[in-house]
Amino acid sequence: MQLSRLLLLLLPLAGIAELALDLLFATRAPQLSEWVDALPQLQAAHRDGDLIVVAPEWAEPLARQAFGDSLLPLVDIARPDLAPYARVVEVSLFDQHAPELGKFKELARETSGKFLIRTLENPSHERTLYAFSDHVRPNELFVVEWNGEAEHTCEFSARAASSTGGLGGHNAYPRERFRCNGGEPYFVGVTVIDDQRYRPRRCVYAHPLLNGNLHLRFPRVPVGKKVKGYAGESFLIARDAPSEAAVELGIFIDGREIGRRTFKASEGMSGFEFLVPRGSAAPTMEVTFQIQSKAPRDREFCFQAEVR
Amino acid sequence: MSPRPDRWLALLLGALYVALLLVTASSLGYTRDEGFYFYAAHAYRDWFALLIDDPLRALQRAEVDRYWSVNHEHPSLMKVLFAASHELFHAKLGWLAPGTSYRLPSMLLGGAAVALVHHWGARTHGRLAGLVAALAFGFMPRVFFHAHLACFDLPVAALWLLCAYVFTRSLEAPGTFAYRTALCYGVLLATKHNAWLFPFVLFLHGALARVGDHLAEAKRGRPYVPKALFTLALGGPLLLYVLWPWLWYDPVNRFVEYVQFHTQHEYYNMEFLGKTYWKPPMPAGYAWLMTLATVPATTLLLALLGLGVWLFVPDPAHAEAAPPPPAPAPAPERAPVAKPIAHPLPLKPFLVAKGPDPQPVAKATTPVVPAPAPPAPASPPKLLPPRAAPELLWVLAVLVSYAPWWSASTPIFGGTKHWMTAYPFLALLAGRGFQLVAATLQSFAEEHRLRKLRLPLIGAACVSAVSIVMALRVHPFGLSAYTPLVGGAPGAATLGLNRTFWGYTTGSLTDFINERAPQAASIYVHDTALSSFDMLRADGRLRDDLRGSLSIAGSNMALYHHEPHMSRVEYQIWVDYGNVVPAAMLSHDGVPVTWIYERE
Repeated sequence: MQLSRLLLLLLPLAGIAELALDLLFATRAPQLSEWVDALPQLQAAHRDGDLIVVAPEWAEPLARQAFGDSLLPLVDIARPDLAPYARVVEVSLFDQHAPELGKFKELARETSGKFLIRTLENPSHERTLYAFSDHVRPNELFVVEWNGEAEHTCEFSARAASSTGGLGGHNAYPRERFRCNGGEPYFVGVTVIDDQRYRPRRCVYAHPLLNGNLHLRFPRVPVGKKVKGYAGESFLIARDAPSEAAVELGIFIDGREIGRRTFKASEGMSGFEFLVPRGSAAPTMEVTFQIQSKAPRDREFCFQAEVR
Repeated sequence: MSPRPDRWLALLLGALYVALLLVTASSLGYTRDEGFYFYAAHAYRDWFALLIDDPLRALQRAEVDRYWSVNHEHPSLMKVLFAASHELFHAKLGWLAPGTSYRLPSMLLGGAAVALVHHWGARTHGRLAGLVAALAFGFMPRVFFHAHLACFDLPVAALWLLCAYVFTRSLEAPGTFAYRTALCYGVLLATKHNAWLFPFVLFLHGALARVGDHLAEAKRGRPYVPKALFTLALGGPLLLYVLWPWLWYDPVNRFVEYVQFHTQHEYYNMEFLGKTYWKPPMPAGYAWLMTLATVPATTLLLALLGLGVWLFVPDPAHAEAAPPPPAPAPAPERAPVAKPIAHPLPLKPFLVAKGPDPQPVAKATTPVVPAPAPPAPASPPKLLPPRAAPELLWVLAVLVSYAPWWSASTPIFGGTKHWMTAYPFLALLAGRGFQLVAATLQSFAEEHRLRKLRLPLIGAACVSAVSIVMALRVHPFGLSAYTPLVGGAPGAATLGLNRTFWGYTTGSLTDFINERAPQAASIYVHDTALSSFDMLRADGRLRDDLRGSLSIAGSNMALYHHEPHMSRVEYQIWVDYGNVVPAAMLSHDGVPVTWIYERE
């Protein structure tokens, strides 16, 4: 029989094969109940301080719904990077793995239904001594406007009107925030913005002032080796911003500048790392973030910073 | 003209398709754009009411502008039909839910398109080819989805198909069909702006199909142009003007504004292969890969086969030097064996035997099998295909429909719907391909005494089942549907292909909202238009006390329709609600599509 004739005779079977594959793929990914069924094994593998990562990434919302925020809290989901986590538990589907865990050392693995649960050790672990976003509250942070002549303190409110801008509008303005002069967007508080991969970043929102510098002073910060972080603006909102749309961040330790960087609005979130100078034997230090912009209007600047 | 049973079969297919759309409509939420068209239809209806009450006032410019300025970036015809359908089938007769009544005109056009695909396919290549083509078109998962909507994408595909068909007929009988082509084209122009691409199909067809004629006519100083092209060029725009009151008092400026709106359209966000595109350059392979990822591979394979058959295999029905049209073929059981593919005639459409003036397309009188191949041409070939060879028009319709996506500056935000005009022709080519498969199956059955098995019919069932099952299975998540070629919905999500857009999946969360929302609750609708949300209430699918809201702050429940660039909306919900755990999640084949948060 000619090959072409054979292929023509078999072609209808392609329809059946495609149908079978369609049905196969439809049932391949686990349903919510299967995620919930995997919870006991995940809990057994998880220790306090472990990060849970879901691969492929698109399945993460199901994991949040099935596992809850005790295993997947906001601080982990909207993390700056993987360095603070000594161990990571990866919940994997279809034998897919998170690319950022490629160099991690596998400690254990077990299957649970359609899931592979792997426990991994971070070879580049850096202990976080102080996450500034966890201390945006009275007595731990003082927010001051400085116009070159006088200071004005931004007062803290625990019950400000929360506000959200939707898709094309401003970031979420939290109820708990230090309110400054200039109107609603001028405050310091913790929010979540989207980075250049549209991934979440929990960060300290600090809109630069129209006139002057904004100072965020954290008086009692444990001494570490470096201040590491990321800063920028919501990528969706600022990705087409002109190059002059930028915010300058300066960091001072005990009044001495240790670093300064300019963050262009269109770049999303980008990293910074400044070493803490040695010398003082004191267990704590005062860290001040100075924020300013030449074109401050609509610069919803946000930064993640930790002492490591 | 197709035999009477084929006409009835076409009508039956169309009617069943509309019935199926009506039955499945209530599980499908309303897309964002439908909300705007409901609003526009409402405004146009008010104008017609004014026209009846006070015609002189209604025709004054101020009144025309007042009512017809709503959604004036699109021609008005479909929205007028939506309004008329709503008035008749909901307001007067009470037969349909409000939203479904607005959708009915699109559904009817969907049914008409399915019927016409069958009719044209059967007329050209036999009943089974027509049937396979019609089912392949109607049950492409995305087509099935769009066929439900009070939008313009399926209507413009249906009318584009109709125009092409009428144009083909006009080549056989230029008289009335030339005027019908103009009429069709006017209606097409009044439906959606991609209608402006359609003349390119005809010009290219005219240029390629009649190279020999053009040369001969040019030598005589009388270049040949089909009459339909004249009538179309004059009548089409005229009818657009008549059917679109927005143009009446300032046609030039408003037409220019209309053109500029679409040629300078904003680039909405669209995810493709893990990257969100929002400005040029757009990815070159978008249209092609999305077609591969969303149209069943079996259909594409058949279409490719149909293309190959047209290009390389002699077709007796189209050979000019052939003897008189073949006698009616015997019943399938006794049908002759098709000429095998082993004797191709390279570039056959452009190398047709020299002979008398081409004949119209011979009707396929057998449901399965083409007539035997004609004798070899007696004289050298010339560059001239048969006059009305429909495949050339089909191929050109496909290419022209995709042509805008050759440009890296063409927006990709509409997903597959913007080249849906190609799909009826892809399906017709698939039917053409199936004709060869059926003929081969028939000959195999003859050889092995398996005639009673009706192998061609079984083959048709096999190649059609995948589309039908897929379309019905994925409903109502049509925009989340992907074929096995990319691993289905999970594979597509891993590849970074768009999971949903247009906010219609709210319709699949109504039960949860009705059950859990507090009395008079405010629901943040996210990507659903408020008018689409209101239509769910008007239909009775959502509780009457619920309010749609565009503000997360102050809402009791917040919907989230996932697209990467939309993520910041979810992050705002997290901050405002103080919660990252969805209360309910819609997933399609295990892939999260839309979810909802409850304020604690």
